[in-house]
Amino acid sequence: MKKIIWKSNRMFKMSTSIVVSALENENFLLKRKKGVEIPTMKAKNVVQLSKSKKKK
Amino acid sequence: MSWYEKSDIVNSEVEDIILSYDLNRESIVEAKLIGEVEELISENAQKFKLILEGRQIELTVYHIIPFWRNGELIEDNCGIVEVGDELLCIDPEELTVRKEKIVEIELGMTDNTPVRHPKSSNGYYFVNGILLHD
Repeated sequence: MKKIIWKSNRMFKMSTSIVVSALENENFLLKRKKGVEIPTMKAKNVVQLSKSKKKK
Repeated sequence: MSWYEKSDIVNSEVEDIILSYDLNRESIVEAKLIGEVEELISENAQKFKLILEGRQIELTVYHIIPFWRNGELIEDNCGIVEVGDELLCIDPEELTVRKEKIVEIELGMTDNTPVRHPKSSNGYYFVNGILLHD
Protein backbone atom coordinates (compact mmCIF):
# COMPACT_ATOMS: atom_id res chain seq x y z
CA MET A 1 0.00 0.00 0.00
CA LYS A 2 1.48 3.31 -1.05
CA LYS A 3 1.75 5.81 1.74
CA ILE A 4 -0.33 8.87 1.11
CA ILE A 5 0.50 11.91 3.14
CA TRP A 6 -2.28 14.25 4.07
CA LYS A 7 -0.90 17.74 4.39
CA SER A 8 -3.84 19.37 6.05
CA ASN A 9 -6.37 18.53 8.66
CA ARG A 10 -8.93 20.75 7.10
CA MET A 11 -12.36 19.24 7.22
CA PHE A 12 -15.23 20.63 5.26
CA LYS A 13 -18.57 20.09 6.83
CA MET A 14 -21.49 20.29 4.48
CA SER A 15 -25.09 19.34 4.78
CA THR A 16 -24.26 16.28 2.73
CA SER A 17 -20.92 14.55 2.28
CA ILE A 18 -20.37 15.81 -1.21
CA VAL A 19 -17.24 16.80 -3.00
CA VAL A 20 -17.58 18.67 -6.20
CA SER A 21 -16.34 18.40 -9.72
CA ALA A 22 -17.49 19.31 -13.19
CA LEU A 23 -17.96 22.98 -12.67
CA GLU A 24 -18.35 23.58 -16.35
CA ASN A 25 -19.49 21.66 -19.36
CA GLU A 26 -15.97 21.40 -20.71
CA ASN A 27 -14.99 18.65 -18.28
CA PHE A 28 -14.77 15.21 -19.76
CA LEU A 29 -14.13 11.66 -18.68
CA LEU A 30 -12.47 9.10 -20.93
CA LYS A 31 -15.09 6.49 -21.68
CA ARG A 32 -14.36 3.21 -23.42
CA LYS A 33 -15.94 3.04 -26.83
CA LYS A 34 -18.30 0.18 -27.34
CA GLY A 35 -17.38 -2.56 -29.74
CA VAL A 36 -13.70 -1.77 -30.14
CA GLU A 37 -10.76 -3.96 -29.28
CA ILE A 38 -7.58 -2.45 -27.88
CA PRO A 39 -4.52 -3.76 -29.76
CA THR A 40 -2.49 -6.21 -27.68
CA MET A 41 0.53 -3.92 -27.38
CA LYS A 42 -1.57 -1.08 -26.01
CA ALA A 43 -3.83 -3.34 -23.96
CA LYS A 44 -0.81 -4.27 -21.83
CA ASN A 45 -0.85 -0.74 -20.47
CA VAL A 46 -4.36 -0.88 -19.06
CA VAL A 47 -6.15 -3.29 -16.77
CA GLN A 48 -9.49 -3.76 -18.43
CA LEU A 49 -12.64 -4.53 -16.50
CA SER A 50 -13.79 -6.92 -19.18
CA LYS A 51 -12.79 -7.54 -22.74
CA SER A 52 -14.45 -5.35 -25.33
CA LYS A 53 -16.92 -7.06 -27.56
CA LYS A 54 -15.84 -7.08 -31.16
CA LYS A 55 -17.99 -5.27 -33.67
CA LYS A 56 -20.15 -7.58 -35.68
CA MET B 1 -8.93 8.89 -29.59
CA SER B 2 -9.27 5.35 -30.80
CA TRP B 3 -10.48 3.27 -27.88
CA TYR B 4 -11.59 5.84 -25.37
CA GLU B 5 -13.69 8.82 -26.23
CA LYS B 6 -14.26 12.08 -24.46
CA SER B 7 -17.49 11.90 -22.54
CA ASP B 8 -18.77 15.07 -20.98
CA ILE B 9 -19.41 14.59 -17.28
CA VAL B 10 -22.84 16.05 -17.76
CA ASN B 11 -23.68 13.18 -20.12
CA SER B 12 -21.99 10.39 -18.17
CA GLU B 13 -24.09 7.47 -17.04
CA VAL B 14 -23.92 4.74 -14.45
CA GLU B 15 -22.22 1.61 -15.87
CA ASP B 16 -20.02 3.63 -18.23
CA ILE B 17 -16.52 2.17 -18.29
CA ILE B 18 -13.95 4.90 -17.89
CA LEU B 19 -10.21 5.25 -17.57
CA SER B 20 -8.87 5.45 -14.05
CA TYR B 21 -5.63 4.77 -12.21
CA ASP B 22 -4.48 2.51 -9.41
CA LEU B 23 -1.97 4.45 -7.31
CA ASN B 24 -0.79 1.33 -5.50
CA ARG B 25 -0.10 -0.71 -8.62
CA GLU B 26 0.93 2.40 -10.55
CA SER B 27 -1.18 1.23 -13.42
CA ILE B 28 -3.90 2.57 -15.66
CA VAL B 29 -7.10 0.71 -14.93
CA GLU B 30 -10.65 0.81 -16.09
CA ALA B 31 -13.35 1.67 -13.59
CA LYS B 32 -17.08 1.77 -13.76
CA LEU B 33 -19.29 4.69 -12.91
CA ILE B 34 -21.39 3.41 -10.05
CA GLY B 35 -23.49 6.43 -9.28
CA GLU B 36 -23.43 10.08 -8.62
CA VAL B 37 -24.55 12.60 -6.15
CA GLU B 38 -27.51 14.69 -7.06
CA GLU B 39 -27.02 17.74 -9.17
CA LEU B 40 -26.73 20.74 -6.94
CA ILE B 41 -25.58 24.29 -6.81
CA SER B 42 -22.26 25.41 -5.44
CA GLU B 43 -22.36 28.94 -4.11
CA ASN B 44 -19.71 31.05 -2.47
CA ALA B 45 -17.10 28.31 -2.31
CA GLN B 46 -13.46 28.76 -3.18
CA LYS B 47 -12.57 27.42 -6.58
CA PHE B 48 -9.23 26.79 -8.18
CA LYS B 49 -8.36 26.60 -11.83
CA LEU B 50 -5.28 24.42 -12.09
CA ILE B 51 -3.47 25.20 -15.32
CA LEU B 52 -0.92 22.84 -16.83
CA GLU B 53 0.80 22.99 -20.19
CA GLY B 54 -2.01 22.18 -22.59
CA ARG B 55 -4.77 21.28 -20.13
CA GLN B 56 -6.58 22.65 -17.17
CA ILE B 57 -9.29 21.87 -14.68
CA GLU B 58 -11.42 23.92 -12.35
CA LEU B 59 -12.36 22.49 -8.98
CA THR B 60 -14.03 23.66 -5.84
CA VAL B 61 -12.04 23.48 -2.64
CA TYR B 62 -13.99 20.45 -1.50
CA HIS B 63 -12.35 18.33 -4.13
CA ILE B 64 -9.61 15.89 -3.21
CA ILE B 65 -6.77 15.50 -5.65
CA PRO B 66 -3.62 13.37 -5.72
CA PHE B 67 -0.48 15.35 -6.54
CA TRP B 68 3.27 15.11 -6.21
CA ARG B 69 5.49 17.61 -4.45
CA ASN B 70 9.23 17.00 -4.53
CA GLY B 71 8.46 13.48 -5.70
CA GLU B 72 6.21 12.72 -2.74
CA LEU B 73 2.62 11.64 -3.31
CA ILE B 74 0.13 13.78 -1.45
CA GLU B 75 -3.62 13.52 -1.50
CA ASP B 76 -5.47 16.50 -0.20
CA ASN B 77 -7.92 19.28 -0.92
CA CYS B 78 -7.13 21.06 -4.15
CA GLY B 79 -6.72 24.30 -2.21
CA ILE B 80 -3.41 22.97 -0.91
CA VAL B 81 -1.92 22.52 -4.37
CA GLU B 82 0.78 24.99 -5.43
CA VAL B 83 2.40 26.04 -8.68
CA GLY B 84 5.18 23.55 -9.39
CA ASP B 85 3.32 20.58 -7.94
CA GLU B 86 2.73 17.77 -10.40
CA LEU B 87 -0.48 16.05 -11.44
CA LEU B 88 -0.81 12.69 -13.14
CA CYS B 89 -1.94 13.06 -16.74
CA ILE B 90 -2.89 10.43 -19.26
CA ASP B 91 -2.28 10.05 -22.96
CA PRO B 92 -5.36 8.05 -23.99
CA GLU B 93 -3.89 7.19 -27.39
CA GLU B 94 -0.74 5.61 -26.03
CA LEU B 95 -2.34 4.57 -22.74
CA THR B 96 0.57 6.00 -20.81
CA VAL B 97 0.75 8.48 -17.95
CA ARG B 98 3.20 11.15 -16.97
CA LYS B 99 3.41 13.82 -14.31
CA GLU B 100 2.91 17.37 -15.49
CA LYS B 101 3.67 20.52 -13.55
CA ILE B 102 1.06 23.08 -12.60
CA VAL B 103 2.16 26.36 -14.17
CA GLU B 104 -0.57 28.64 -12.87
CA ILE B 105 -3.46 28.62 -10.42
CA GLU B 106 -6.39 31.00 -10.75
CA LEU B 107 -8.47 31.55 -7.66
CA GLY B 108 -12.15 32.36 -7.66
CA MET B 109 -15.45 31.87 -5.92
CA THR B 110 -18.41 29.88 -7.13
CA ASP B 111 -21.63 31.67 -7.80
CA ASN B 112 -24.68 29.47 -8.20
CA THR B 113 -22.61 27.08 -10.28
CA PRO B 114 -24.39 23.87 -11.25
CA VAL B 115 -22.22 20.86 -10.50
CA ARG B 116 -22.38 17.17 -11.17
CA HIS B 117 -20.32 14.58 -9.44
CA PRO B 118 -20.06 10.99 -10.67
CA LYS B 119 -18.67 8.25 -8.43
CA SER B 120 -16.37 5.59 -9.80
CA SER B 121 -15.83 2.01 -8.67
CA ASN B 122 -12.22 2.59 -7.60
CA GLY B 123 -12.54 6.16 -6.39
CA TYR B 124 -10.51 7.81 -9.12
CA TYR B 125 -10.88 8.94 -12.71
CA PHE B 126 -9.28 11.16 -15.26
CA VAL B 127 -11.09 14.42 -15.92
CA ASN B 128 -9.67 16.42 -18.80
CA GLY B 129 -6.89 13.84 -18.75
CA ILE B 130 -5.94 14.71 -15.15
CA LEU B 131 -6.26 12.16 -12.34
CA LEU B 132 -8.74 13.17 -9.64
CA HIS B 133 -10.19 11.51 -6.61
CA ASP B 134 -13.92 11.16 -7.02
